[in-house]
Amino acid sequence: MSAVSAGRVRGRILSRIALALLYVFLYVPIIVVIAMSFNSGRSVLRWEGFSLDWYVKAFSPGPLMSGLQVTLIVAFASTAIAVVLGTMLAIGVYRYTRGPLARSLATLPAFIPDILLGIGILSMFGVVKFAIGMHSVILAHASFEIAIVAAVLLARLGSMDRSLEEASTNLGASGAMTFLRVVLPQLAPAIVAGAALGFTLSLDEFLMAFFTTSTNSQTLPIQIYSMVRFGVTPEVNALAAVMFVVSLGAVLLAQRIIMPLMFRRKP
Amino acid sequence: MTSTHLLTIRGLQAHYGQTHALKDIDLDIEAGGMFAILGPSGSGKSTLLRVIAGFEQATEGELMLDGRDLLSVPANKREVGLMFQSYALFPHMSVAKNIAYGLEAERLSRTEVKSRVAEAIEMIGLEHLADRRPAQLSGGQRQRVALARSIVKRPKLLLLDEPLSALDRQLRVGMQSELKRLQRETGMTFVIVTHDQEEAMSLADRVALLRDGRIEQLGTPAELYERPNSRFCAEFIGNSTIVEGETVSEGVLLAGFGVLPLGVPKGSSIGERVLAVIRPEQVHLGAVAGAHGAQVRGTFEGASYLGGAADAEVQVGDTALTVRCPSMPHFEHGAEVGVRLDTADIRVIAA
Amino acid sequence: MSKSTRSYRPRPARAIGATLTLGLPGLFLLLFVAVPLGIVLVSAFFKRGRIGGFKPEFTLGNFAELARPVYAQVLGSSLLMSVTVTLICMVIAYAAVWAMRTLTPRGRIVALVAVLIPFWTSFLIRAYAWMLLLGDAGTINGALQMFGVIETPLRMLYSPEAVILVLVYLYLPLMILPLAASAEGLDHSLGDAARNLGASPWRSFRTVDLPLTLPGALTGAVLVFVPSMSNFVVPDLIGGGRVLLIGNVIQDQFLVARNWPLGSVLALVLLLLLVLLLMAQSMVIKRIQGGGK
Repeated sequence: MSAVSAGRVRGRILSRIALALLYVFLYVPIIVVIAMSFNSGRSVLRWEGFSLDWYVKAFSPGPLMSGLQVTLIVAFASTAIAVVLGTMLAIGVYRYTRGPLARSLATLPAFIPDILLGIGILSMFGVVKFAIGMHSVILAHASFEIAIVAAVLLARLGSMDRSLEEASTNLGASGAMTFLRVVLPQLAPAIVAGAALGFTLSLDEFLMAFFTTSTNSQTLPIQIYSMVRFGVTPEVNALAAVMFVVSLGAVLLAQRIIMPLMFRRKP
Repeated sequence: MTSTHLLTIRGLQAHYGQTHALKDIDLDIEAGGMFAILGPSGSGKSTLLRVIAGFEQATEGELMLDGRDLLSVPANKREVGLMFQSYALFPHMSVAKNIAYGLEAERLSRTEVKSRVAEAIEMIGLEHLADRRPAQLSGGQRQRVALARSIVKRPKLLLLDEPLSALDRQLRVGMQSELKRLQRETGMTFVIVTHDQEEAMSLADRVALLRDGRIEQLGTPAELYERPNSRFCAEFIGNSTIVEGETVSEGVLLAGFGVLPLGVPKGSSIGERVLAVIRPEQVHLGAVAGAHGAQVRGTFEGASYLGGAADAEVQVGDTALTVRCPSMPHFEHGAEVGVRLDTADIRVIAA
Repeated sequence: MSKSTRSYRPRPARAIGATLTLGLPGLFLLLFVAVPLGIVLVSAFFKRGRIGGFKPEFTLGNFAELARPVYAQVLGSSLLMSVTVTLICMVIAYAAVWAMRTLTPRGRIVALVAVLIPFWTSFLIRAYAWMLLLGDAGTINGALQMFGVIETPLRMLYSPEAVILVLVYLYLPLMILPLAASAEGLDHSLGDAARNLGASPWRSFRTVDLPLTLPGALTGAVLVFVPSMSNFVVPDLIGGGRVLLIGNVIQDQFLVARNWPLGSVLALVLLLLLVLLLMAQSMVIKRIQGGGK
C-alpha cells in the first residue's frame, strides 16, 4: 500500500533469503557427508549404488571403535569429576567469596586456549616424569569442564531468588536443610545442563587430547584425524552420519534444558 | 474549519497481529495545547500512537498532519516527535549527544546543532549534566532529556507515551507543571497517550477516551467527568457509585434509594432502565432538615482518611455508596446515618 | 550477594564451609591448571632439552627466535588469517542475527538451535566434509562439470582461501550466539527512537544498534579468533600443509622438532593476543556504559 510497507516487505524477503543461504552453508557439507556414507564406491563424485557396507566397516573392531571407546571413557570420567568439583566450586564461590575476582578465577579455565592447557599438562607430566595416557586426557578434560559446570551454575545461582533461602531460614530450616530442600532442587537443571555441555565438549575436544595422550589410548577425533589426513575415508562418512543423528537428537533434547537457561526472561 | 486542525484522522483502521486494534477512528486535534488519548490497556491507544509515529501500519483510513498525508511517509520523515515511555535514551551517548542526534540526522551544520542543543539543554535546566550518560541521571532528569531530544527537532506534533507513569508521586507534580510550561513556551502541540486518567485529566485540555479500538467519548476533562455518556466512561474516569434504576414520571426510581428527582437522558421514555452515576462529592453524610436535594438513610460501614478529606462507605439498600466527607466521620460501625444527595448534579445514563 | 544473609553465620562455620566447598576444586585447579600454565610460562625462559623438555637455565633466546623470518612470517600470516576469519564471521553473523530479528521470538529460538546443531557435530568431521566438497574430484567440481560450467576441475583445496572458508564455517556459530544474545537484550524502542528522530535505517543501525551490540560481537571475536589461530587441523587437512597457523608451529615444536621452550613462547603469544582482545572488549563495554552503574 504505502512506501513504508513496501520497504518492510522487501526487508522481510531479503531476511528470509539471507537465512536460507546461511542454512545452506551450514548444512550442505553435512548432508554431502551423510549422502556419501551410503555410496557403495569410494568416489565422492560417482554414485555407485546404495550400500550400508561403510557402516559395517565403521562399526567393526578397528581404530574408529577403539577411539570411540576411549572417547566415551574419557567423557564419562571427566564429566563425573567436573560435576562434583564444579558444583562444589560454584556453591563455594557463591556463598563464601565476595567480588568478581573469585568468580572470574573459577570460570577462567573455560577461556584459556585449549592448546595452552594441553601443552601445559604435557609439560607438567614431563617435569614430574609421569607417563601420559588416558588418565592425563581425563584430567585435562576435567580441568576445563569444571569451569564450564561452575559457569553454568553460577549463572543460575545469580538469578536465583535469594528470598527463597531467607524464607526457608525464617521457617526454621537449618542451613543443611535449606541447601538440600530449597537450593539444590533449583540447581538441578543447571547441573544437568552443565554436565551435558561438558560431556559434549569432551567428546569433541581434539587439541588437548592430542597433546596429552599416548599412542595406545587415542580418542575418536584423533583417530579420525589420522585417517582423513591421507584422503577421503568412506567409513568416516558412515560414522559421521551416525554422530550427526545422535548429536541432533541430543541437541533437540538439550534445547529444552539449555535454551531456557540462556534466554531466561523474568516472569 | 479544517485549516485549524493540525492532525486529522478519518476512518483509521489497524490490525495488530490477529486483533482488530483500531476500528474506524475519527479524530481532529487542534494546533497548540495538550490533547490526551486515554484508554485502558488493549484499548488501542498504543497502536494509535505507533500508527501516528509511523511504526505501525494502518490498514485503512486517512492520517493528515497539517494538510500532508502521513501514511505514505516513513517514520523517520514524519515531523512527529515521540517521547517514549521508557525514554529510550541512547545509553552509549552523553546527554548532549542524545539531544544532538536528531539534528545530526537532519544533516544540519555543526554550529547550528551546537547552538540548538545548548538552547535545549538550557530550556530543561540541565546545563551542568550535558556530558553525563543517561545511566548517571535520575528518572526525572532522564525524562527531561528525552523531552529536549524531541523538542529540539521542532516537530509539529509531540506524542508523549505515559509521560508521568515512571515517576514517583513527588516528581509527578513537578513534571506536570514542567510539561505545561514547555508546551506554552514552544507553542507545540502535545498529545499525551496514557492509561492513567489522573494524568490525562490534569494535563490535557481535551481528552479522547478509547475503548476496544473505538473512541468512546471526546471532550474536556470536566465534560468527561461530569457528563459521562456511558458506564465505561463513568467507571474509568474518577470514582463513582453506579446504581441501577428505572425512569418514572417524577424522575428515577433507584433500587434502595426510592424515587429521586434526577434529570433523565434525552429522549428516554418512562419505564426505561437507566444508571445513576453518583460521585462521592455529590453525596453528604448527615440529614439536614430543609436542605436541597434528596435524603436517604443507610448503614455506616467505615471510612478511609484521604488527607484533608475522608471517604465514608455507607450501605444503602444493596448499594455500597462512597461519600466524600470534609473530615473523618466518627460513627460506630453499623450505625444508621442520613445521606443527602445533590440531585441536580447526579448524572443519569442509559443502561 | 546480600550481606544480611551472610552475617548471621558465625565465623568458624564460614571458614569450615569455605574449606569444604572450595578446598578440593581449588586443589584440582591448582594442580591441573595453574601449575601447568606456570610451567609453560617458566619454560619459555629456559633452554631446550635434548628430546623435548627443557633445562633449567635462564635465557631470553626463545623470544629472540620470534624475530627470525620463519616465525615472524608465520605469526604475521596467522594473525592476518585469523583476523580475516573473525571479520567475515562478524559480518555474516550481523546479517544473520538481523535477519532473525524479523522472526517471532519462538522462530528466533528455532533459528538459533538450527545454527547450533551443526556446531555440536564433531568439528573434525565438519572440516573433513569440506575435503569432500572442495577436492579436485569433489562434489562442487563434480557438479560444475556435470552442468558444463567448467571442463577442468578448479583447484580449491589446499589454498589459504579454503582454510579461511572452513575456519569461518567451523566457528561461525560461536559468533552468532553471543551476538544474538546481545541483540536479544537490545531495547527495541531505541531503534524506534532513532527513526523518530529522523535517522535512516542504516544510520540508526550504525549509530545505535551496532555500538550497543559490539560487546556481543567482541565476545564472539574472542571465541572465534583464538581457536582459529591455535587450530592446526584445518591448515593440515584443508591447507594441505602449505598454510601454516601458529597452532601448526606449536604442535611441531612440541611433538616433532621437540623444542618445548619455543613452543611455550608461541603459546604465550597466543595468550597475550587473547588478553589484548579481552581488554579491548572490556574497554568497549566501559565506553558504552560510560561509567554508569
